[in-house]
Amino acid sequence: MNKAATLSATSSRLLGRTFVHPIFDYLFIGGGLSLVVTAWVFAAGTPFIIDQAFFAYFLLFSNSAHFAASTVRLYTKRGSFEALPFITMAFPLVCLVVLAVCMIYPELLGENLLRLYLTWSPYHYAAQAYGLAVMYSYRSGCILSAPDKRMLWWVSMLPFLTVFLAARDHGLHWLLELGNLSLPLWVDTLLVETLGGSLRLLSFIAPPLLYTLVATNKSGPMPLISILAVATNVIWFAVLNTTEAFFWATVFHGIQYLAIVIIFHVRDRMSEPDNRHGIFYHVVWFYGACLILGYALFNCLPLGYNLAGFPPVESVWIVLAAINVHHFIVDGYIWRLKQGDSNRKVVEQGTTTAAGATAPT
Amino acid sequence: METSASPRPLYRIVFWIGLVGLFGGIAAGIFQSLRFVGLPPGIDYQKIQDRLVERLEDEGDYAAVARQKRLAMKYKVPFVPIKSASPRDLAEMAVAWYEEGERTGDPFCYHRAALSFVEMQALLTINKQSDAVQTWQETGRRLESLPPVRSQRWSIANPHFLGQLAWTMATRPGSDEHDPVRAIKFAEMACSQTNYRDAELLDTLAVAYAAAGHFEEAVARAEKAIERVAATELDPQRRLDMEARLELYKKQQPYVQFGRRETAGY
Repeated sequence: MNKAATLSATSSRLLGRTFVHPIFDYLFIGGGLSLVVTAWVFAAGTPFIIDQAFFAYFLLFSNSAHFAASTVRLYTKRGSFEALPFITMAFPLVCLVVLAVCMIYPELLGENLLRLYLTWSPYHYAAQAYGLAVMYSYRSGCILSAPDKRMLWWVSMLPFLTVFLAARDHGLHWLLELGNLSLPLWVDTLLVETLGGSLRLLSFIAPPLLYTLVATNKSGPMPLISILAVATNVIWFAVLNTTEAFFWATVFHGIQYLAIVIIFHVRDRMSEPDNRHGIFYHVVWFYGACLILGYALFNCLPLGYNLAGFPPVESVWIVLAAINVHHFIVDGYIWRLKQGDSNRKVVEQGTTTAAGATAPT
Repeated sequence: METSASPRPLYRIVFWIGLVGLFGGIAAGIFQSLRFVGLPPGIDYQKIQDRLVERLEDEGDYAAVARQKRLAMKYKVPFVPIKSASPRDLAEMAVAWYEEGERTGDPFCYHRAALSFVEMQALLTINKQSDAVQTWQETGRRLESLPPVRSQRWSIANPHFLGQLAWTMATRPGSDEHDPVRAIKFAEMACSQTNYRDAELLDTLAVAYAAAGHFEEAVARAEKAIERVAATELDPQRRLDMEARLELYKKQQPYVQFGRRETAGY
């Protein structure tokens, strides 16, 4: 094999097999765009969310649409009702009942639902980064061994562990409060500052170290987009302060999620024998549905609870927490890659590998 | 045949109940919006809440309004920015959180109180005018460059937080934050937590008493503070500042500090 061909094969392997185009995948799914914004926010603060009206629209188009996307995907994926009868048919009512009970007991239950959502969010983001990393590796012919996968999992979880230890109003401190426990000040300082700080530091070092280790194993090098997905999640939480990290992680996780779920939806639809529409139609249809549902759930539903007599604050925040938790649970089901599932076909398109892959979340 | 049938029919019934409930809730939300918020329903949660709380105010249910304001502060999730908070808003928020902590014993409330307080301090430090407009993010960023403030930020109900609160409330007559009675309360709490052994907190207590016109108590606390600082501190300037304040109290004058904090006390 000549040198040019070897070089080309190596660079193609490093780039990985992308879904749309390397630029699109690296910017929106890998999180490259978020690195640019993170650098900007780190240097200059978050200037444009000063305008509350702009901030609200920003949330609607990225965040609300993203939370609705899992529900839209669940109900538009062929065979969901048969494969997931509980999640598709019974779970919405279960959620409404839980929501109502939390509304009735806001301080006993509602507040804990909100803290559960805040605790779960960083885990959800970390799990998504892990899923994307494994999926791109698999598509690109890098079959991760079980120890490599375990290592990748723990590296992906570092930002979650940092937030879990360091956050005061959720995470470990919330769980301790639930059990009516409090830590001695020195233990608290040790956990939050020493251990939390060490994990934060480790989360910078770990992704490149992991990449090098995997590259030297028989798995071979992962595509760069895999490690980028993990590293961006690390950077959101390790570089920015808590407020900005939560905000930007939510926004970019939402963009990342919307991009990947739309790809899966469009490929499903395009592969149907009776499909008569083009890619653009399916993209607009899916995103439009997410936007409308996101708006209905986040902006209209809370007012419905208010009409039913529940106070304004609880109506807004507890609904928000419940929708988030619903999204986390639904996500755990809709990305499963069973043999014969359309998700698996999308991931496998163009690959010749045969090992098992993992879902994005 | 009937008994071994799959649970799908039951699922379908449950599904339709859920669907009707969900869309009923959304429709009710649009109706409620039509009555109080406007159509189409706004997208800004904060504005929606504000409008609904205003309605409670119009109805004269002030207890509900107070509870909602407290909950709004408590439920404020980290990624929602607080826009244009004035030092007065933040001082009120700090006090409300502190009182909520006293009422419930919940450390989360003290933590929020400390956060509101350091934001207020930052506004006062950065902008002397009391209606200064700063975003939470900008304030937070500047705060993080101040190591002593950073360490305070995460403390829970510590006496130095109370001392700072008392100092601010006692030394700015004419400002929105001035409240000598509350200042005495907070300074007393801080001193009692440290068994009246911390010189700076005793100095703050003296300042608070003088601000409220109780000069005898102020003199007694200031003398105690000077005694303690002599025993524990190496910084001569601190002692000189305390002595200067003691002279003021003896002349029946409170200590007044405008704008930014200086080296003395808190």
